[in-house]
Amino acid sequence: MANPAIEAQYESAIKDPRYDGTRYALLCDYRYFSGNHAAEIACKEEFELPIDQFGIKEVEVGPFFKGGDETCGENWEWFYIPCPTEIFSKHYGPEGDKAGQRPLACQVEESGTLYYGTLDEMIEKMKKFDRPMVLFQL
Amino acid sequence: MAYSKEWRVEREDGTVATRSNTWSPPGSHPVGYGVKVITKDGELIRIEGDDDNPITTGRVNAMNLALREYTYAPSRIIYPMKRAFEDRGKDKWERTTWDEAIDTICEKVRYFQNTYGPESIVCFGGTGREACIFYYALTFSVLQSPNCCYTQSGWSCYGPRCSISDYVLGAGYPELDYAGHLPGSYIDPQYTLSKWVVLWGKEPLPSNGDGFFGHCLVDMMRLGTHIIDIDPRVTWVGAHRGNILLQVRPQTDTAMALGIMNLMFQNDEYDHEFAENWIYGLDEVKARAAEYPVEKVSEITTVPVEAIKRAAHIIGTERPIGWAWGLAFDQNKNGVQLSQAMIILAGLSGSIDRPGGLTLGPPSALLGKWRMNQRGAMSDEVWEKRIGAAAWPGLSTGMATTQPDETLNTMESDEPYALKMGWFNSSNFLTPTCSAQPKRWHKALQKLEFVVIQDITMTPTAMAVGDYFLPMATWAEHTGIVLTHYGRNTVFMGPMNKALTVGECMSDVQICLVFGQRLNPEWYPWYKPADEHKLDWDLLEQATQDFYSDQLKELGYDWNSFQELGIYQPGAHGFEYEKYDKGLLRFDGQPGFNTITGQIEAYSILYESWGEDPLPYYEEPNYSPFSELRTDEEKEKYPLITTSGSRRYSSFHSEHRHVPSLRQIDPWPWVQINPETAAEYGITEGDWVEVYNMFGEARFKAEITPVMKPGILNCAHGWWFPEQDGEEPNLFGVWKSNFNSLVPHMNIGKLGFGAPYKGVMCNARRVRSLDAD
Repeated sequence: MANPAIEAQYESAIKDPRYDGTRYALLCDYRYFSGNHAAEIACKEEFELPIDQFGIKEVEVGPFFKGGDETCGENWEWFYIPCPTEIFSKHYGPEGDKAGQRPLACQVEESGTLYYGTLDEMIEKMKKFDRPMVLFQL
Repeated sequence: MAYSKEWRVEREDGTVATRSNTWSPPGSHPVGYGVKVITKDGELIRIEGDDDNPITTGRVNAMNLALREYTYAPSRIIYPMKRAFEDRGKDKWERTTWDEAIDTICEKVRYFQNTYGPESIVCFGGTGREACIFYYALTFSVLQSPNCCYTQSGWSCYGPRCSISDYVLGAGYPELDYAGHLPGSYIDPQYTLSKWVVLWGKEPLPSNGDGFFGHCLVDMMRLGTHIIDIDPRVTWVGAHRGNILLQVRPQTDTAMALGIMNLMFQNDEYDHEFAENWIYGLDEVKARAAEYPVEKVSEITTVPVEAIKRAAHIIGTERPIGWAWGLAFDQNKNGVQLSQAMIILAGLSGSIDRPGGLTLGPPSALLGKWRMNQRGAMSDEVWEKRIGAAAWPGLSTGMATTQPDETLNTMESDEPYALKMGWFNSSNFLTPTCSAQPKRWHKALQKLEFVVIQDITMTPTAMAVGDYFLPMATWAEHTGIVLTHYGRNTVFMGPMNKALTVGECMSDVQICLVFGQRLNPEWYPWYKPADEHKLDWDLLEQATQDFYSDQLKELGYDWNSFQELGIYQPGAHGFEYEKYDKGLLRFDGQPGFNTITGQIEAYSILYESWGEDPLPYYEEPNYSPFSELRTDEEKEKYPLITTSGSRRYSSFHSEHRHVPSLRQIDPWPWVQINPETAAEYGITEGDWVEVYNMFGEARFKAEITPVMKPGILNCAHGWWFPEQDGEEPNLFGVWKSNFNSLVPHMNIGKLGFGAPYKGVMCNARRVRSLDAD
């Protein structure tokens, strides 16, 4: 368990003034995010990145079998998370040059499960879903 | 959202956004992602989505997003090239002009037509591309040869499903109803969401087969649809809450179909009204299905009895049931029976031409009809020389092409006549795509005296045998129309609007217009240059638009009004469900299906006339460790089974290996192996593995995963290495990971369809690298 005193020190050490205003977030309905790589390529194109850099990078979890009946879909764990890098936050985070606009990645992502907006909007959006979601503060 | 008429807009930042719909090249099925092509001063900046497209709604796949890289790839060929015959296999290409290329090629065509007959020319076409419309026309009405060839053994891609639909169902391709034809999409009042979708031998999210937007399955799951996934693998779509996974042993799907059918009859769980009114041979097929009790089917397929029963009960009782059937129906010697059985099951579940079930179209319409009409450019005498047509009526009735395996036999034997000239229309089949035993093809192709290649980059096939290379324009660089199923079930049609020009690249239709004008002007009236020896690009662009205006007349549009329309969906123009009940499917206007009996033929009159069993049956694959045809020694040597042909987001068959951001996703050919099997063979993650059998061998990097069952492998296809030496004998490393080396030639079904690309016996061993043992 974290030491509460040190935890308070962590919080007081945070001084980035950009976070004093509107905050932005990326939300993913990741149960249905298909790992289609469109968001990765979209960021490379939008930010004109060299081949070894990413604005969003997908990570895969699974597939693994959790026991029970192998013929039932829920007994398998297999999902992807589109992780925004600091390159993405630099453009779409607070005071980013594109803050508040729609990222190309969110438009083109093929499963339609990637949302971008202010942190408050994304929290409200997330509450409308009845399942695990992943929210990235940018 | 409604489309604006303005399909091209200049933005404040000085860029130009051209609305378009994607097809090919580079490779893609006709899914027609709605996009905006962003250019500045004529240069491609990026691809964006088009929110107004009612199907793709702004979404675009990775391959199309990487179009800029493809467009300006250093290895792309953007001017016509030629090479001396004696330099085949060497990188001694030199740039030429279109005027010279057209003159020389036309002279050669005339020479072969006059000296050996037009049948001495063979035209090869690749899969899924826009070329699928135009390589038929190029063969039949431009070159006037009957020998249009899709080289895959047993025509094992899409053609069988279409032909069986034609023979048994009497309609064009039955497609899952994903509301693509309806302007209101999933909330259109005409639509009902599928309660369950049977996803069979198909993984459409990366593949978008034949224009079916695969991610609609994600949309449908998010709305509440569940999936019954029949596949040797666990797929990502299948591995979701509430879905059912039936992991069949490769190539045993027909037993599964008959087993499900038997349970539906046994339990009296099927749509009686539909079956009694519209299925011919119901009693006979009931008796046949009874030969497949669930225990026997479980033993053959390795799927537990209870899971088969659960799936059969759902298919029998829940409504509506959608069906998405895939490549596994074609790449199977027993696939003709599988397709027939699937159509019967769809009938029994009340899915045919009903909301949330399957939609139907005519066997060929619009551009698809034009494509087929090109046959008329030949005399009967020439048409009768089509290779393999007389010997394989069960194939040649449905398909206008040669029988593929017979084509190789003819090339090797020169019987009944020698082929002298070849034209490759976007086909790179020496790579492991659409041929079996590619080394035999490689040798046979060397006999061709003159070869023209249409493609976008230098390929192993072009390097091996090409004499002329004609550079192709991408979908963003040409005027065209994208339509699903090549006209066999037009869920939508959309314009491809030319947004930029690169080098001197031409589109497939323009190749037909230019060469047609020279070789058969009666059939090609659109392009009429003042001097036929001097290419007039402006006139050619106008001729292209005029050609499409003529095609669009029957819908009441011309090219310009079609561009303004943005997308054509039949649902906005009088589409109706249950066409069979309304006299809208048969050419005589009577109710029923367009078969001999007017019903869905569970007992096929045509199969019987061709010497095939009129009813569906299961047959053990010939090259299986369980086949009685194999010796004990063979079974010991090749105890594993490998499937292949599954797609990923990073490539379209043999394409895209040279595009850095896509190659980064899947850098090497892969083989998926179950952890238990990997341990048994001493294979760890990332090891190089040689997969081999009595026909050949190929190397892949191991991906150890529980999605495969023990003893079953899944190998990548389409691999070559653009970064390697392109000259003979290496040919960009085309033989190193060539899965099709393991697939036998002419191990096909009785109708000439279906080869075992998705299931052959094999063995595997760990090796040090792609090259070293």
